[in-house]
Amino acid sequence: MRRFTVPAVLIVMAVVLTAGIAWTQTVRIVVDAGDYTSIKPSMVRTSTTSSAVAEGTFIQIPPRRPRPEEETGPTDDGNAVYRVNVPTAGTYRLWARTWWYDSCGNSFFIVINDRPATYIEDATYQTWHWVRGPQVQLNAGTNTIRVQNREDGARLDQFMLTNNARYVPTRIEARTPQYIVK
Amino acid sequence: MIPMRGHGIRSVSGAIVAAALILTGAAAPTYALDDPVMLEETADPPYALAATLNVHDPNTLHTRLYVDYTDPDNTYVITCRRYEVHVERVLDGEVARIGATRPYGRMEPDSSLELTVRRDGWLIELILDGRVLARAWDSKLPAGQVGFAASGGEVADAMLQPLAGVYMTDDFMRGEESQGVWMPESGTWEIEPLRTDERSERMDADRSANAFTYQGRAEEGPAIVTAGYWFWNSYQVTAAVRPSETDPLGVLAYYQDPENYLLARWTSALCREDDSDRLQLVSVVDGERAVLAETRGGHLPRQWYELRLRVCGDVVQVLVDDEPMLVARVDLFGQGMPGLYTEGETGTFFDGVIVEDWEVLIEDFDTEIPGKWIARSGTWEVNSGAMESAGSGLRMLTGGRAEWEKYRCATEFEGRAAVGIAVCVDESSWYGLRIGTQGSGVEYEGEAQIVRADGGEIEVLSSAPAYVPGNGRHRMRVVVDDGLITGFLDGRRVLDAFDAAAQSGRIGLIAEGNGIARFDEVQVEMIPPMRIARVTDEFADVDAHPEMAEWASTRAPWVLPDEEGEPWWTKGSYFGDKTISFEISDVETSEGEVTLHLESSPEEPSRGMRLTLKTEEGSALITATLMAGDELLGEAEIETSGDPCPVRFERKGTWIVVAIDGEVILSEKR
Repeated sequence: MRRFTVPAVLIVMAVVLTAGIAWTQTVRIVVDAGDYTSIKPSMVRTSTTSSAVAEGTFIQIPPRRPRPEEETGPTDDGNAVYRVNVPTAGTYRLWARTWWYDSCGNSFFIVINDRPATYIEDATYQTWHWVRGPQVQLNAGTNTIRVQNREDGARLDQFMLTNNARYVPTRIEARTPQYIVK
Repeated sequence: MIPMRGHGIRSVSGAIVAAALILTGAAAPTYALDDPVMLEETADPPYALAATLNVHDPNTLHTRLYVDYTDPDNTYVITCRRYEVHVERVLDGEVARIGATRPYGRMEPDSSLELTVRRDGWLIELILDGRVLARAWDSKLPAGQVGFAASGGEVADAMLQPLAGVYMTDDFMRGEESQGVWMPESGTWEIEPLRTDERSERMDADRSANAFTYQGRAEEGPAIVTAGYWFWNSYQVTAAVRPSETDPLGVLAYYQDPENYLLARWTSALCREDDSDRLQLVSVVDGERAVLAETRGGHLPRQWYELRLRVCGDVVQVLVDDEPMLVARVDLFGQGMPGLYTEGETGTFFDGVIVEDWEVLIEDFDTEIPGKWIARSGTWEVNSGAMESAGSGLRMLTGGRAEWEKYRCATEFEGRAAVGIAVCVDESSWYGLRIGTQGSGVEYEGEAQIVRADGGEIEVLSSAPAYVPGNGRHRMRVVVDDGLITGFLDGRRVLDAFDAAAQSGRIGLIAEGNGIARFDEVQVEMIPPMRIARVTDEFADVDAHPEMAEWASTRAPWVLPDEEGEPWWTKGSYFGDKTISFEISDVETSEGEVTLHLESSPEEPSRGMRLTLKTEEGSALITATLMAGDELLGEAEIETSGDPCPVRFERKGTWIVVAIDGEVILSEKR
């Protein structure tokens, strides 16, 4: 009996080690707007010297002139596509750092891995701020996120995917190049 | 986040042990007090350490929380035991207790309590189970790591939450199916696309600037909806409210759960309930309601009002239509979400919600709080509910945040010594209002002065006669607003001065000359942003928007000129301080001239102040000419680098100020 005890303990320890490392891993994937792999008009990349924007770059659907008087829906499917390498499969919350022109320019469609589109939206205008997006199931490995025109006048600076349900981004987040597929 | 024990050397093994113990169902680890767990990241203030304190045995519980930790000789340490809480600053190994604390004796064996440690540039707070147990003010140590150690329990699920300013708005202009950022806790909450009142049939959503509202209705108990995040603090929540009938309504702050929050509750003037016709400030703690303050006066059906609830530290205020109505001091929760509230089936309409930063400092010196106020020179002590300084020469006491800008600072004072308030205080310089009390023996006796001090040299920027006998109680106030410093004595404006460098910094109390000076009821509050009458592209374009041109809100304050090149005039008159601000794009490729009129009128455009700006193609120079009627007040030229280049033309107190590209180029007393 005794000679089997040590290997058994080692196996248990190995399982515990693996489970322990997995259990403690918090993932935060931060992508800057300029990290897209493709961009399609009317989505455009815009540079700025403003310190309110990460890496001096954001993407936007420029506001139409004159502004619509009512919601008219998107005029095209302008979008930017991002690819991220997710280290651990699981449930992730999407956060987006946005700037909305007004109540007719305050949302983006979000399409993840070609699943049905959802959207992000709130009613805090003319200031950069984080918007809580949907919770999504992500696979380990490469996942695709498409940010698409829903209303003109919407800007995006960063987005974040995290499996930490309690964490709330409040400032510019440090970019995580190790998870970004270019 | 992976906790690191012993400065990160054993981080992985620590995680493995923790995982192993959980997987095998064994008791959680109890860290030795002399072996703190440090979080991986260097914490960049402001932040909150959020964790769960698992109490095994309340009587032996001993928790230490480390803030701005550099090494064991340089850190803040919060000690939390069942009947003892204290905060220490350890600087080069020297230990000093700071702040005000209270214990939390309600700990139960084998219980779990939510724990938060908040840190910004000045304040450290410990919040346990929704109670503020410690509040200490200190900024002597640089930012560092955050950590913890415990015996008799454990600190679990630690996470570092970054903090930033609070700002959220909602005009409810969205589809009926969407709750937006709101999270209904109870009752029914719905977007109403048109106001459902007797006029609704005559209303056309296409003709309304905002036809959307948010309606709450209650069934059993109140209807509550919340927004924002658990870590929000020091904010004001403002909402337009419209009672359908006579049901009570309100706004919430520091919402924890359905049984713990602060509430500004307003009842109907027409209701016959016992608590009708009044505005109340209510605390709900563990489900128990307590009225902290109340005043007579209720709301009327179908009338729009603006209701505002402010919370900062232990100060809570309620305002209706911008009028302060209630104030109370209560130290509950310390953080939490804002929310909307209604009772009854007919419910309440809400609109135009704004949640934004609100900070106030009210100091009554009832108790001495070590570390909050720092004697820079002279002797200062709390005595009989006032801060007192005796001696001779210049004495200064400082406090507050280095980041404070655009604020008012007031204090009551008495005694024979000359007194003052310092603003924009940094390590070597400050500005201030000083009053030469009768009998003080100072060279400015009988005068009020605004001064600038730099490296021990004091320069008088302005002075005015001020008779203050040494035997009464008086109140002085200083307002610092983007370079303008204004002094008030006993509610009367006495003098001002302008210095573009007077922007931000701490506050101070000043005593000088013979005798004692006593200060009480020090109050600091931030100046709210100016209201804007804005011209935007779409409302300048009358061809595209003829229906909007004359009445839509953003255009409404302005009169369209008959001919191109004629001035745009505001419809109304603007009193007091005012600013015209705009941007010039592509200065180097622009050639032209623009004239701005301030305190003038269409009938007499040459009256008042006139600023003319000229640009020439191929040059980054802007030439500014400032006129008062036919009198030339000043000329200046600036080479711009910003694009677009911001321009500000302002009336600030008795000063006219011109700033281009962020630099003040003209400031004339007029």
